[in-house]
Amino acid sequence: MADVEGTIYSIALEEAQGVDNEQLRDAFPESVQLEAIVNGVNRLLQKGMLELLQVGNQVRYRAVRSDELARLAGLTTDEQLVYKHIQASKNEGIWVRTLKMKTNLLQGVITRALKTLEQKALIKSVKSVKHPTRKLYMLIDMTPSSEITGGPWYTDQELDTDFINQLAKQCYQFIYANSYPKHNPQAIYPASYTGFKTSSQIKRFISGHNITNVDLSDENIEELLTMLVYDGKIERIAAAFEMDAGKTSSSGKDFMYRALRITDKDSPFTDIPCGRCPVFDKCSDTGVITPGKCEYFKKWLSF
Amino acid sequence: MFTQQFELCKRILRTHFGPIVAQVATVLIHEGRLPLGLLAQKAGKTLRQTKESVAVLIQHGIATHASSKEGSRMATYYSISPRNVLRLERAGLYLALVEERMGKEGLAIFRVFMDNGPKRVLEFEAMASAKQIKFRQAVAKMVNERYITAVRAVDTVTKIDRLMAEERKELDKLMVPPTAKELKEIRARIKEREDEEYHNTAVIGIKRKAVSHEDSMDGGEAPEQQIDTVDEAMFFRPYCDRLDVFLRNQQITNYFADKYNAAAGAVIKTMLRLTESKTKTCRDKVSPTVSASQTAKGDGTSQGMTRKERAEIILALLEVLSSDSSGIVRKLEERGAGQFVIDFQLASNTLRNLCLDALVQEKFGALHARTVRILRDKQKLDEKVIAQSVMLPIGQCR
Repeated sequence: MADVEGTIYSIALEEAQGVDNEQLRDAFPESVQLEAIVNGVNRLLQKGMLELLQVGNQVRYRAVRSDELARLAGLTTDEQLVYKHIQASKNEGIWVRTLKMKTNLLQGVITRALKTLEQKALIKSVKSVKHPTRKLYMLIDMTPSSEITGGPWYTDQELDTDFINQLAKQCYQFIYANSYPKHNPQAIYPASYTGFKTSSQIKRFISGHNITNVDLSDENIEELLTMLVYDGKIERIAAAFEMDAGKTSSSGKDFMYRALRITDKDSPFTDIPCGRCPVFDKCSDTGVITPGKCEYFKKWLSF
Repeated sequence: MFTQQFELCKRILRTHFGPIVAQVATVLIHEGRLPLGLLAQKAGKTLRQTKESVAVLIQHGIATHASSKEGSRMATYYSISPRNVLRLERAGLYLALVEERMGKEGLAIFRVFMDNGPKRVLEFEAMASAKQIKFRQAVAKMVNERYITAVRAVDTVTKIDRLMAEERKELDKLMVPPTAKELKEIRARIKEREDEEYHNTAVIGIKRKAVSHEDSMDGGEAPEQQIDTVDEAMFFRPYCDRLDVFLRNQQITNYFADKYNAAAGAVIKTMLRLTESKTKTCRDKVSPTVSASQTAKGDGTSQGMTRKERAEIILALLEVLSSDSSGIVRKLEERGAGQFVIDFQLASNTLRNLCLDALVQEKFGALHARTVRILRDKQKLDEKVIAQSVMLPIGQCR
């Protein structure tokens, strides 16, 4: 009998998606009775070495690996159910309320199960940047997805503005260095020039010069460059095929980026104090705030 | 009108014309069209003071009048254009511009017009007695190049009233009330006339005079030469719309010089100079076409180069300018070395946005300027999307 169980377990272990009744019957010779196979499956299910899966109308049996088995040893049925759902959520994590809805267990039972699982170091809780008040549960060895962590721009669920600014500065310097001829910075490249840097080249520059250890995707670099475009520091000039690497970006073409010269000219509007005055709207001929009593004007006129 | 704009108008008028005129003008700006009696009552001035103030304002082209029949009498209404009041602040810029382009004589003439409003040339006789010929030539040149323009009686009438009067005149010709189609046709005719008048290149107030040189080189009959003289009966006034074109062009030149380099600035300056004579006011949306070869011929900055080298460089710069993200310089066709136009509407939008960005940047900082640029580009965004786009924590973004 033990042989039958062993054979069922090994057959199920080979198939990641599990095996169905027909596959099990075919795996045994005619001499083995169907009843023996059914009893073997039942015993394995009782021991927790097999788990039932429903694929459409078909019932399949999936083998539980020995390390997983060892991990689940000593857990109650409720705790195991909670664990299974948390495991199914993968690196996206699962919220307590979703867990309650899926398991149909009482809140108290779920809370107890989660506490036990956390104590046994089987699961961990993480916070999502999208919903900072929600606690999401996932297996302890899972790395939270970028949806939850916010991607490379977030450190401890906080937007790392210093990191963003540093990286943006490096990108700008790289683009600027390639936007004007080195021997004569006052000159400009002709309109047909295709040596302006593209986002994939900028990505290669960042990873090649070890500017950061964080793994940045093409989208992350695009986000950074869009920010620089809106800062008025660079401009997207034309769509060009990425010729150098012999490949194209996801859209088939890549924008080139040219740095703009930033002039330090003062705006005539902000040169006078009124242009920058925080109480400009409240200023009038009479009242507390008047041009006659203006502190900013006194400072400005004192040279 | 914004409170700040109103306050600014008030202060400008007070600085230029004193408290009485400023008070009358302020009431007109605040209340809109008013007849003289009501204006005097609201301004708290005597009828005489009000009349004199309105005369001063009309003289300087700030106020306009319109008459309409009310029962058995004709009522005259007065109104003010705040745009013309705000324009007074550009007086210094106008004077500097005229001095740069017309020299000291031009400046002296223009200053008199700016100080006194419309005047006839005869009224200058006293100040111009010493150098009368030179002075008259300078005036003629200014009229020809439209720095000053002849004043017509209709110039002081409010534009909308003028159009309504023309429409009424057309309607009077009909025996029966007009149908919608007829009314549409009449309005189209009036608009067509207006456009025709606007695009008319004839200069009013100039007379061509034939002059013969008595002492010719060969002693034979001297050839006749035509010179321009100013019509002495005509009144002239500063043509600020035209001067605004020069100031706007200067800003476009600065934009490209700052963005690219001085050479790019020089090329766009040449292009603008070539189109200046055909550009009437800042209302023109697109400049006349300029070819690359015209620009190359007109450019006087690239010294010490052969003609071919200069043409090549200018063509390359024109290609750079026409591929600029602002789209101000557009290449129309490839014929020859290319035909180019300058989109003034896009230019004014770009310059306005630059001005706003600089203001936000200096007053609030780079993050605010970034947010403004994104909102201008995308129009409407949810605060979460804004925070994500500007890469700011949502609290700070809010």
